[in-house]
Amino acid sequence: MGLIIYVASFFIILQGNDSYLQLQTMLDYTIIRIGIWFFIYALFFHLCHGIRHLIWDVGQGFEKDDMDRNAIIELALSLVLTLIFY
Amino acid sequence: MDYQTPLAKVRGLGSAKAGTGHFWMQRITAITLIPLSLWMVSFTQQLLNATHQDIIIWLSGPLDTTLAVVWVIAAFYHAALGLQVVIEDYVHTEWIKISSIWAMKLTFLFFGLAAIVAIFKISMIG
Repeated sequence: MGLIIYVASFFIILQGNDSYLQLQTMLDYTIIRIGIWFFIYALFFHLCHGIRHLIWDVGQGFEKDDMDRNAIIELALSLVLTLIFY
Repeated sequence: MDYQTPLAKVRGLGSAKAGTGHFWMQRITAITLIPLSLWMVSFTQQLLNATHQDIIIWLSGPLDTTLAVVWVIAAFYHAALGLQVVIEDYVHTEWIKISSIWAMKLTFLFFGLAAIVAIFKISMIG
C-alpha cells in the first residue's frame, strides 16, 4: 500500500502545482499524519529487525543474553529513528 | 486410473530448486535498502514540506534521480519476494497460490515501471 502511494505521489508531482498542493493539504490532516508516523515507525522497525535477521544469517546473536539485549535495542532504535524523523 | 509413475509424482514436489536465488536476492535487496531507506525518508519529508518547485529541483538532481530509480527497483523487488513468501506460507490451494503469486508479481512490475517512468519525466522538467 505504501509503495503504491509513493508511485501515486510521483505522478501527482508530475501533474503540476495544483494537484501537488491538494496532496499536501490532504497529508496535513491529523489522522493522515498519524498514519504517516505509524508507516515510518513500521519502516524503521522492519529495517532494525531486518538487520537483526541479517546478523542471525551469519550465525551470530543466538545466545539468550544477546537475544534479550538485541530485542530491546531493536525496539528502542526504531522508536528513536521515528522521533528523529518527526 | 493413475497413469503417473512414482518418479513423475515426486518430481517437482521435492526441493524448491530455485530457492537459494530467492534467498540471496532477498538479502541483497535488504542490504541495498538499508541506506536507500534514508533516501525514502528524506523524500517523504520533502513531500510533506517542500514546494512544488523545490521538490522537482530536488528530484531532478542527478544523484537523487539515480537513488530514486534504484530505490524503486530494490523496494519493489524486495516487496514482491516478501509477499511471495507470505502467499506460499498461507495459501494452501495450489492453483490459487500460483496464480496469486503471478498476479502479485505482475502488479508490482507494473507499478515499479510506472514509478520509473514518472521519475524520468519529473527529471525532464527540472
